[in-house]
Parts: sequence; structure tokens; C-alpha cells
Amino acid sequence: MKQIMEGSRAVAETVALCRPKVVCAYPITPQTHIVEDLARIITDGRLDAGYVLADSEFTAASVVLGASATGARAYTATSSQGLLLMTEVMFNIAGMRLPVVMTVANRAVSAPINIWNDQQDSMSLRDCGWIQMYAEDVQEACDMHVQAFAVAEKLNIPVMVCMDGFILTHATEPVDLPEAEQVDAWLAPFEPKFYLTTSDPITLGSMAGPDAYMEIRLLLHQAMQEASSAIESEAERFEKVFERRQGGMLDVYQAKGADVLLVSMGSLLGTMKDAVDELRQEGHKVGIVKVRTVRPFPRTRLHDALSGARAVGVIEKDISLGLEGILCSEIRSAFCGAAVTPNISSFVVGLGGRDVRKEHIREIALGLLKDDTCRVEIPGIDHEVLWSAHEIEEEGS
Amino acid sequence: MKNKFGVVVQPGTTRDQKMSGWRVYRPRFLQENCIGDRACELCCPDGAVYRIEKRKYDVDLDACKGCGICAEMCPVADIVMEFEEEPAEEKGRHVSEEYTSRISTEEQQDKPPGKKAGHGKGTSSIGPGGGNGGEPS
Repeated sequence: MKQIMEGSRAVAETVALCRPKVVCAYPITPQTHIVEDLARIITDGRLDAGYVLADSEFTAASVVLGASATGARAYTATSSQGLLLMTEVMFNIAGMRLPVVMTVANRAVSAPINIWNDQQDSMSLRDCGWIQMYAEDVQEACDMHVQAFAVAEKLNIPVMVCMDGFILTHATEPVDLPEAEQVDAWLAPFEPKFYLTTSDPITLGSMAGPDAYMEIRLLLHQAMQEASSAIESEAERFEKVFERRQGGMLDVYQAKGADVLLVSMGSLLGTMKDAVDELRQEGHKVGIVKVRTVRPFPRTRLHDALSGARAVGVIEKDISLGLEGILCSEIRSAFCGAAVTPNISSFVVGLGGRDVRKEHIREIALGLLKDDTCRVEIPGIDHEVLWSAHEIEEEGS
Repeated sequence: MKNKFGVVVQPGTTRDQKMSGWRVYRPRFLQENCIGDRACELCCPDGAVYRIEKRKYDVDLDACKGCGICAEMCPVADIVMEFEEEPAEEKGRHVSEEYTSRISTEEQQDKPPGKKAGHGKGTSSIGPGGGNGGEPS
């Protein structure tokens, strides 16, 4: 049934429908409403789960690690600094092959301290062995969580569902929440492939020396690569029951015969679609490729989706300082050795909550139509702010 | 349980690891002034110290890394740290067979009949052969 609700609440309700046994999180803006709502759902007796209070994100991640290791479906959520504090444990969760699901309410990283949205937090953790999915709107964020538990438990790889802070977490949108019976039928109860129990003791997280470490990492790497097909098949299986599809590893929009293809992930895509609709009406051949999963990286699919275009503009809310947008570098790698390569440019936008509007996307697209040279651009810089920062620096020196 | 994904391993394997080679100094339990306050036993980070009787403790040198916390904690200076002059492995002193077999018997007596001997039961699980419920055999 379609309802109007806040993104955070919709996600909390959906997570509850997935029946985790243990929820442990430490509140941080803009994730707070998700875990507050889950705490309320559990206290109200609507979800039979333990809500464990944590004294930090490090603890929260450690608790879900432990819970998952005992065979419980475990969930946590965080953002920004909290995610970075979890880092050590996140590598452990992945390395121990525990199917934890986590929501990341994407937010900028300090310093300067900033609570608003960009994707530098989760993008900096793309190598920790978690599957990373990015939601375009609240509906997709909800649906992604249901799929995330299925994918995680099928492969024993943890899944991070990333949704843009405020833009999605605090937006009130119409959402079609799945029925409890539907989710119960679609998502089987968690049957762990191994778990800690006193009756049949095992060790997890033991030491592996130079003789075995590489092989164990290779197993995780291969499992990650094989996850592509599981992500696609779970998205199809989801579509059959819930009659909604937002794409598997990626999705395309108005991409047919496009000279310029814009690539992005997360909530930017909504704005981009509006801009592209207008550009198409005006006769400009511009389309969109939406990246849904950053890890595993849909290298082949992206190559196929982008190879027809003359120019590709990767618009993203993150930056690998000293290089370019992170997704852009990865997309360039998809064309290594290819006979025909589109000119791929990086556009870093919307850091720290800087508004990205339809006209900004329009400018980027029109710019690429006019001049398709490969470049790295950080559009929308306010030069007055920049100059004043320079002056402060000079005064201080 | 099978070794899934290369991450699941047998428990209790720490007992198979000989730590003698880590030591620069080794503890020697003088067993002269012991007041039985258990400081050495409780503070040992490796569970290497074990009780022989009320005021008599010793250390399993297979498990001891030579950190010296036991000697530091002992209020009556009944433990001294001595420089390892030879390669530690060769001098490694094992817990006596007599001692470990005694623990096994004690553990079995503690257990209700019909149950397998468990492991990790406080200090009584130290030493090779001491209560190896989960050990591969």
C-alpha cells in the first residue's frame, strides 16, 4: 500500500519486515531517525529482536559482528565519522564472511565538520569487502534493504545500502511498503552456513600467515565478483513478487543513441533524469547510466552500456583528493584495452551538501556536447569563498 | 563443521602454538614465599600460570611469552625473570605428564555423567592434553 512517509521511517519499517534478530547502532545525523524508529518498533513489540545500546560506532559494528557470528540476522546503520570509526570492524565482518546488512546515510566527512550529504564516507570504504549499493529514491532504498539481506545471506558477504543523507533520509515521499507476508515469503529465515555455538565449537577470525592469507583474500575477491549474478538474480526475483524494478547492477535511462552519457549514483539521478528529459525534448542526444552497485563493480556491463557514446560525464559526490572523482577512475578502468573508448570526464559536485540543481546537470551535458575533451571539473565553486580562504592563508603566513 | 570460505577453523588450536621462542626473559617461580594470592595466575595474559597447590604456582613455558607481568605483580617477589641464554625452544619446559593427567581426571569428575569433557574451563584448561573438548585429534 502506498503511504507518505519520511525516508528514514520507511527504511526502518522495511528493515523490521526483514526480521533482524539483533539491531545495534549508535545515533549519528542523518542516520538517527532510522535507528530511533527501529528502537521504537522493537520496544512496541512489533519486531522480536534485541536492540543493543552501543557506546560508539566501533562497538555497534562489533556487536553486529558478534551477533552475526552466532547465527543471528544482524543490522546496523551509520554515517560519516561513525562509518569511519567502524572501519576496522568492517574489514573484520567481511573477512569473517558475516552477512551483516548496514544502512549508510551518506554524509560528508570532517574536517571541516559538516553534517550534510555527499558520498565521500562510503566511497572511501569501497575496498573493505562489503557489497555497496546506492539508492536513488526512498522506494529504492526500501526495496534494496530486502534484497540486501537475501544477497548477503546467499553469499556470506556483508551489504552496505547507501542512501543520501537528508535528501533521502529526511525526505517525505510516497512509498509502497511491502506487506509482511510478502517479505516473509520472499526472504527466507536466515540459515547460517556456520555459527558459534558451545556444542560444536569453531574459531572465527583466526590468524592466517603469509602461507594462507592471500588465498583467503582471493576467495573473498572471487565471491565478490560472483556476487554480480546474485545481485541481478535477486533483483529479478524481487521484481516478480513486488512488481518493481530499479535495475540490477546498473540501469539505463534515455540511453539509446546518446552522444553524451551521464553516469552517477544515488539521489543525484532524480535531478539528472529531469534535466535529461528536457534536453531530449530540445533534441540533444543525452542519456543516463545509473550505477546501483559500486562493489562488486559492474565493469563489463558499464563498458557495454557506455561504449556507444562519444563522451561520458561521471557526476559524483565524492573525490579522491589529488586525482578525480572515484567512480570516474573506475569507469576509465572498464575501458582499459578497449578498441573504442569514449572520452570520460569527471565532474565532482555537491560536496558537503552543496545543492545540485537541474541547471547544473544541464550545463555539464551541454558542455560535453560542445567539447568532449577528457577533463576533471569541480563546477559550482564560489570564488568569493575561495578568495577569502586564500586571504586568510596569506595573513597567517 | 566444514572450513567454510577459509574462515572457519578448529577451536582450541592456541594450545598447539609453542610460545617459547618469543621470550627474552623467562619467569622462574621460586616457590619459597608464596602467599597464594593468585596475582600471577590472574594477571597472566596467556593463562600460562597454573596452580599446583594452595601456595605453590608454576608456569607452562610452552605458553609463556616472557612478558614478566607475573613477576611484576607478585607482592612477595617470589617470581624472578631470568635472561634466556639458549634458544628458548630447546630449554622449553613442558608441563609434566603427571600434572596434565591430573587435570583431565579432575575435569571429568566435575562433569555430570554422560557429558563430554569440555574445554576452556578457567585455569584448568592449560597445558597440552588438558581438557581438549574442541581440539582436533
